[in-house]
Order: sequence, then structure tokens, then C-alpha cells
Amino acid sequence: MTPASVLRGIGSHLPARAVSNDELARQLDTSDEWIRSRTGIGQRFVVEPGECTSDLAVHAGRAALRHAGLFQVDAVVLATSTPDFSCPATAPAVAARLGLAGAAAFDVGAVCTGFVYALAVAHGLIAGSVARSVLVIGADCFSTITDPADRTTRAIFGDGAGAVVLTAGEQDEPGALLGFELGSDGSREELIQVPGGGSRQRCGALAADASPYFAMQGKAVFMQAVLGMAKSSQAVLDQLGWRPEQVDHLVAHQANLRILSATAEQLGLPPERLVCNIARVGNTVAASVPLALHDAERAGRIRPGERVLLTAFGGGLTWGAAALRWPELPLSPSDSPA
Amino acid sequence: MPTEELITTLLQDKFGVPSPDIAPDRTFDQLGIDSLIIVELALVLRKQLGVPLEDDELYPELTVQQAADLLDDKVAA
Repeated sequence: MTPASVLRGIGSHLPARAVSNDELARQLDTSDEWIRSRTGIGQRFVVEPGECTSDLAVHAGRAALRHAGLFQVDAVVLATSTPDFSCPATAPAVAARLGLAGAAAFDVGAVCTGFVYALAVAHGLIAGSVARSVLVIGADCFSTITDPADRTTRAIFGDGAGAVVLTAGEQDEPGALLGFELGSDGSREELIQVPGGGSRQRCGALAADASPYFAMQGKAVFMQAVLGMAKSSQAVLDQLGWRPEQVDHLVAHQANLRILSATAEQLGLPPERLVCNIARVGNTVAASVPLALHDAERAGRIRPGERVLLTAFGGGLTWGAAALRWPELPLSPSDSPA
Repeated sequence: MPTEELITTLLQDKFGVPSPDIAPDRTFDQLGIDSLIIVELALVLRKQLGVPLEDDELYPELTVQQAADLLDDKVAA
């Protein structure tokens, strides 16, 4: 029998420093009112000098392992677009710092869809009996790649990490990942991008002064994100025979409050089923889905047996969805600033 | 419901544009609709009318009537 991948623990971590909209408004031509009305964001957390993605990933990973009661896993899969280095991947160093000597460890790059992609990859490792336990982490510090003078990206993105532990189990066990849908469209790679710094620039195909900063075409991305998340979510619902009204919690990538509302509307889901923490943490890219999931779990919002639908959309372009019924877990301890 | 009326109803009920302000010859820009609201409107219209609509097909300089005519052409196609 093919092993299922079962959620056993969850954790997250935010950097200590919160940056409010008012603080941003003192540095850039923006306002709390403009940011909130267009994005729903009230603040975001940013790394301090000397703090980077591996640090956030280690904290979140440690919290998830503790929650699962595990000291060793077979694999560490880290979703990030802000690795510590362009080479090697960040996951092996994270695994080493967590005392997970010898575990397979690699990064997954799908920007904001990264965590959903990483879950699917982890599921594949377990289903294929390559691993019996996997630590899946989504971690990003976009404050290190956004232009300090760009009032849009500076307002939207925050830093953070979230993690879950999956182990082999039974298909009908609560916590088993039940369905996946992943997709991409590389013909729109320019919509969400850091142009410079890669081999496309170094080989001469891009100008030597191509921007080293992250850029996004917000209006075009808005519609693609809503349609991509709605379509992949519906595909998972169809796989599982779930009607939209049966979904107890929709944990979508926290890109923008208006994108979240529009996605729920496209799916025919009542807005109260949406899990939202974007006001507090902003868009944390690959950390977004596990951070929102962990916030909902810690608040006691998700009850055992409830249907949880995860979905995300990101650079690539990429999109994906996954679903599970929530397991019975002890409430995880709080690790992060409120 | 005529498409122009559908757009007017959505602008009032969903996006809070005051009813007296809305007229077929007023542009989205004149109605104070920002570019993100235009995309949100396009998403709802896509779903309700069952037609494809790209993110740049509705834009601030379009009037309510022009938007309705564009959508009617798509429904008829």
C-alpha cells in the first residue's frame, strides 16, 4: 500500500522587528491608508542586519520538529527564493544546524507557490518510500531583495518562515495530504522577477545593469493569481469530491487581502472560511501559507477532522493547491511575536 | 439583465460607488475606480457572464457603456 503523508507538527518564526505602515510612510511616499486600502497590510516583520533565510528556517523547523516530537527526519525540503547563497542550496545548512545529520536536503524554488510545491515534493518522497519523514519549510526574507526606494514592494513584502513535519501513514488517517494540483506558465516569467544576478545576465543575454531588485507587475498578477488559485483549488476539490461549501478553511497565499477575497468569491466560498493574517505579517512569499496555517492552528481555529484547502500562486508563473483533513495535535507553543 | 445595468449594480453594491455618480458615459476613472478595482470587476464579470476577459481589456478610460458593449460582443461571439 502506498504510504500517505501525514501532518504531525507545525511551527513558524517571524523576525523580531515589526515595521508599521506609518514607519514606511516616514521613509517613502506612501500612507497607512493607501497601503491598507490596496493590500490589507498593516505591518510586516523584517530581518535585522546579520539575519537571513537560514536563520528563519532553522527557528521554524525546530518549532515544527518539537511539535511533532521528532529529533530526526529523512529529508528537509526548503521552499525559498531568497537562499543564503545562489550555491549551494540553503536546506543542507538548515538540516545541519537542526542536528539532522545525513538527511537528504534541497531547496525548492517556486516563489510564493514554493510551500505548496514543497509539500507535493515531500509527499512524493514519502509515497515513493524514499523517505518516511520530511521536514517541509517555507522561508523568505524579501526585505533583502526589494528596492528600499520602491514604495510598492517595500509595503507588500515581509520576512518569515513556517514549517510542517510529514511522516508516512495511512490514507484515511486525519492529517493525510489528500490531493494536489500544481501548474506553471513560464511564458509570463517577467511578471514576478529579480532580473539581474543570474546566468541570464552573466551570459550576456541581459544588460549588465539589469536590476538586482525584485519587481512585480501588480495589476497583471492580480487577475492571474485569483484565476490560478481558484482553478487549482477547484481541481483539488474535484479530485476529492468536495463541494466548495464543504471547505472549512481556505488557507491561500497571503498576497493581498483583495486577492484573497476575490479567490474565495471565484470558488463560491463564504468569506469567513478564509484564513487571513496578512494585516499582521504582509506577503511572506514561501512562508505565507505555513505562517497563516500556524496562526490559525495556534488560535484554536482549526478543529480535528475539518477540511483544509491550501492554495498559492507565485513567480514562474506557478500555482498550486493541496488539501487535508486536520489531525488531532496538541496546540503548538507560541514562538513568535504577537 | 442588460450588461450596462449589471456593471452599474456591481459598482454600487460591491464597490461602493454612489448611485447618482454612475452614468453610461462616465469613465471608470471619473467614477474614482482604481486599477485594482477594475481587475476585481473584470473577475466578477468573467464569472457572471461566462466570458474570457484579460486584465487589460477593462481600463480606466473606458466608459460604463463601452465596457458593456465590449462584454456584449464577447457574449455574442
